Amino acid sequence: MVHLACSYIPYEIPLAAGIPAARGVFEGPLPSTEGYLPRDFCAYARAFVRQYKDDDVVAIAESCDAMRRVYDVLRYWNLARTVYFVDVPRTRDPDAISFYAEELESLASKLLNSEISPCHEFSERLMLAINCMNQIRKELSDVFDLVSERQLSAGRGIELVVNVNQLLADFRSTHDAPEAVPCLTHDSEPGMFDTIIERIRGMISQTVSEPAPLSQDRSRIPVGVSGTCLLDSSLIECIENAGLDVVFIDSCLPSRTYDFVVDNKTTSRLFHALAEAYLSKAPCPRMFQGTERIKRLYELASDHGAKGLVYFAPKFCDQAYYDFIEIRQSLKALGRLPVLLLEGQYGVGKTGQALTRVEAFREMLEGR
Amino acid sequence: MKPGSYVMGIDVGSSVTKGVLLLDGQILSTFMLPTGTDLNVTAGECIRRLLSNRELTQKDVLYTVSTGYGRTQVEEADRTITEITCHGRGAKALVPRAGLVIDIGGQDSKVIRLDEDGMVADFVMNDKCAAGTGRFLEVMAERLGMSLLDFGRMWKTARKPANISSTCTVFAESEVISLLSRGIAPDAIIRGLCDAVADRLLGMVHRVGLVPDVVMTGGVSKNEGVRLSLEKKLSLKVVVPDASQFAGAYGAAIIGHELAMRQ
Amino acid sequence: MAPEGVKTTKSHREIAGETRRIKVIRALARKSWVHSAAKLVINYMERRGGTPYQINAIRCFADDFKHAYLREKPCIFTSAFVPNELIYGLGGVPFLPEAASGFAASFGFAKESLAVCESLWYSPDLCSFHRAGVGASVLELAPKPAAVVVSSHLCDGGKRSLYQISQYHDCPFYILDVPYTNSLQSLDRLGKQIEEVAQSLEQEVPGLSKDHMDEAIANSNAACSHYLDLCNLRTNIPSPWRGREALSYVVLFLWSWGSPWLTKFYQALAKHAGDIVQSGEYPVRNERFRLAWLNLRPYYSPRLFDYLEDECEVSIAFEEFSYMYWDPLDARDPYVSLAKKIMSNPGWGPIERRLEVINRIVGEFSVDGVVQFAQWGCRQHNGGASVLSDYLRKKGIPFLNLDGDGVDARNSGEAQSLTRLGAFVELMESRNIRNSR
Repeated sequence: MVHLACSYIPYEIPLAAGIPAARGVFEGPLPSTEGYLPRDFCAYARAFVRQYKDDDVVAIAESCDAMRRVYDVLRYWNLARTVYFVDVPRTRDPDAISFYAEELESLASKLLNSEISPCHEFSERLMLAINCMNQIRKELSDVFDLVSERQLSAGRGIELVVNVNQLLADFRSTHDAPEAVPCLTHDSEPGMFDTIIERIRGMISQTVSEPAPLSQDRSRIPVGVSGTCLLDSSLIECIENAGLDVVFIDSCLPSRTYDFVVDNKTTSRLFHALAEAYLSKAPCPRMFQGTERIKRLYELASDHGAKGLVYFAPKFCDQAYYDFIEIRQSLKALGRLPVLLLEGQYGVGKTGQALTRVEAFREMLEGR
Repeated sequence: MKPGSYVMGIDVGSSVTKGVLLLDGQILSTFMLPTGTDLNVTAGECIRRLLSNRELTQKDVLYTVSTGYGRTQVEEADRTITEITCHGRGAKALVPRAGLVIDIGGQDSKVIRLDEDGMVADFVMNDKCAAGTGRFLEVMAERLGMSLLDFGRMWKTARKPANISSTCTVFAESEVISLLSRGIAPDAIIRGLCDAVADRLLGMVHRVGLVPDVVMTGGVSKNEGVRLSLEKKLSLKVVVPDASQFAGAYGAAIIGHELAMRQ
Repeated sequence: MAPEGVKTTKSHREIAGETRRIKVIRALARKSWVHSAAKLVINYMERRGGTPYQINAIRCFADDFKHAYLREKPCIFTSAFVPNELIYGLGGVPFLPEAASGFAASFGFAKESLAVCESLWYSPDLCSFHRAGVGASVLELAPKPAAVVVSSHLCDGGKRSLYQISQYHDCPFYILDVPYTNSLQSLDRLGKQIEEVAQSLEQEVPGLSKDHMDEAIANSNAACSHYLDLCNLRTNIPSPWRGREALSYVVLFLWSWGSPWLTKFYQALAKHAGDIVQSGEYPVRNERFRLAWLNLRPYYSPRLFDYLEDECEVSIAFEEFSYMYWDPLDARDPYVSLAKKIMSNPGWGPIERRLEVINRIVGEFSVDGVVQFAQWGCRQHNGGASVLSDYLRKKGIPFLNLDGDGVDARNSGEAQSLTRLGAFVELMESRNIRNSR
């Protein structure tokens, strides 16, 4: 499988190459990376440095200083069979989009030519993969609408996203003939993608129909969550346990991964369409897109009635540290929206420090 | 709520557990003891001593609120509230003009800005390491071979502070050793240490915004040296109420009293 | 309500870091008589036999600072690895907040800059060169920028902190998004971006014009030629120049390409080094070992170097940040030429590029050991420590990763650093004894 390090690397590409792929989602305890990276590196980067299975490859994006070093370390110490590097631009002007389209095409060609790809033909499958991912994104987006309407707990939403991510890593098992994993013929292609969608729909309906653990207490205060990478679901659980309702999550794993559509109308320039869609999705703090991020957060908070924002920064994540400063000052100035900063590692939500802060934040919001 | 009702606030801190007993909203008695390894036992002991001093039992208490890092370990508590809210409320009750509360405990420090009604308007908390906390000062006092109670006196005798840049316990300890070996007087070192702690607090104060009156609570509030450094750096008076160490427990008890009234 | 970026109010300046000396420095920096007096002092120093390269370095900054603080020329803030030929070539003066942090630390007023940043929620886990740069801007110790230009290489903190400065001063912000892979396509994309930034600057900032580009490129190439002479002289054993000084003058290497003063500075410095070699009056006379120094140094205290150079008699033969990594620029195609310069930075791209340069330094400068100053919060450099250590170990070169902080003394334990340096020198000694057996 391909371990994807960043939400800017399209799932569509490995999927079209017939290779399972998933975003790196880790749950503690993590293997020790002592010695490979210094201790003042964020937990996500450190988690990515591990010995990968023989069949696994890794795709690292030019997300930040830390991930560039992860790329070096994985290669130098031979921790993965192959490590790909995807150079994601920080802007989305036409040149940046063209550049990124070529970058994606190059990744596709490398994956297709790798030993782990069962496919030799790509272009038609890419369109199918795009359609499939568009469908998945749409369905997940609908689920998070329920979260925003406080009909589903955000914790369950995150759980679902993690499970969907896992399914994309195991999709071969969803197909009828997993051992062969051929470059599927025209007849069976829709079958594979349809099976994936069907499985995901099953997951979604199960999540939505199960008795929601969400409190019906409407006096619970709605808040939003933002940050670079949430690391795991513990933070959301912590916020919910502290008596707050999470009405939106602006982080790379849930919302910034599903909340957009790839244009599938122009069949001739699919890489361009992918590049454009991915560079145009809700910007991550690493991007330089003016005040768009702040504007979006402000709108999310207004639309969903959030009374506060919990900002999570993985400890030693420079992008988050800088982003937080901007967000805090701007949101405070805009709508007097209080922002709580939480820093931490994996399992942050299970710590007393995080719970105390979130509870104090809730008490503060209650007092307003 | 009937007249003659007792309400209790228990603050289970990392170093010391404090308890305040209120009768009709007024402080009746206080008690504190070191926090042991079993937080539940310590809290129970605090409650027992608090009540037995007045020949009362748990049954006589209408409402108990626990706070502090061990707040969830207090079996007798009807409600838990964070130490941030409790310190804010307690400090406001002790010093009605309080606008900013600086609480430095054994292992963490927090700065809380209050609004006009005494509610928490913003807060910042530091508990990543022992830097600049009570534990830091204890280690330094140990290294200098003196008591924390001497800090105020020594601060005043120092002509100028020694330059100590770090509040990291390990780095500062070696800075202190190096200063001592260079023959720098201990009083200057103490003043330097207090300045370093104050500098660290200053960053936190400005993050939430400086609003007078500034009130100091928690164990380190009794350290006159830190207060003096802070006053100098803030260019304003820092109020340390007599019961500053009980601010959290008192705040918890006040909230308990309000909740009991609503019942 | 239209959302805006960070608006740091003046009140922040008022409440944190605003000491009397900061007020005095801020006011003095903007007085024309101060700059005139500085000029007289420099002339006097020259007449009294001041060291020519030092005089030229001071002139280089005095000249730029005068233009910037008195607003005689547009001051453009740039991140550390933007090729400043672009700024001089437009008739502006560059200002590098990150590099200025080193100045602030050397002169002992980084503390206030860091304090003001802390009050603005900047994490102390961020690199202090960036924090102090923002702090100096908020305190208005730095001049007012007419625009900010950053490049996305090498580090995140540089571009992010400068973005915040641009928001604070409400001035145009431009980013050169540097591709990771050095290819023709990358060069083309970057060259186009540089040209577009030049055009935008010319349109947006009154007083800028591309008319000076040829001159800036010529200055840069001339300085480069003298610089290569200096590098050649620095291969001499013992070393003709003190490493602590070299690590301080790295600021010119980052700042002044394109300035006419840089040519004079390197010319004088090369002459100085040549004279030392001729006379044999080496700064570390009984040089026992030679080091390559990676990343920067603590600027608030010379103690590490007193110990290393004076007590242990160990020279810093060459520094990673002094390495000349680009070819002469082509005035006929300045933007692509500058793009090539950026793309040639060995700190960018896969770590093998950096390893190759370190290997070259080790060979060319006959280095006995390599020290990386592990600046707190510098993910860019520190993240390569395990690779560097293994790579150098395999080559038989001792390596020390020395934790510290160049600007924020609170993040450094000087006693611990001295112990580690001492142990490192002992390690080189025992290695020598072993090798001589």
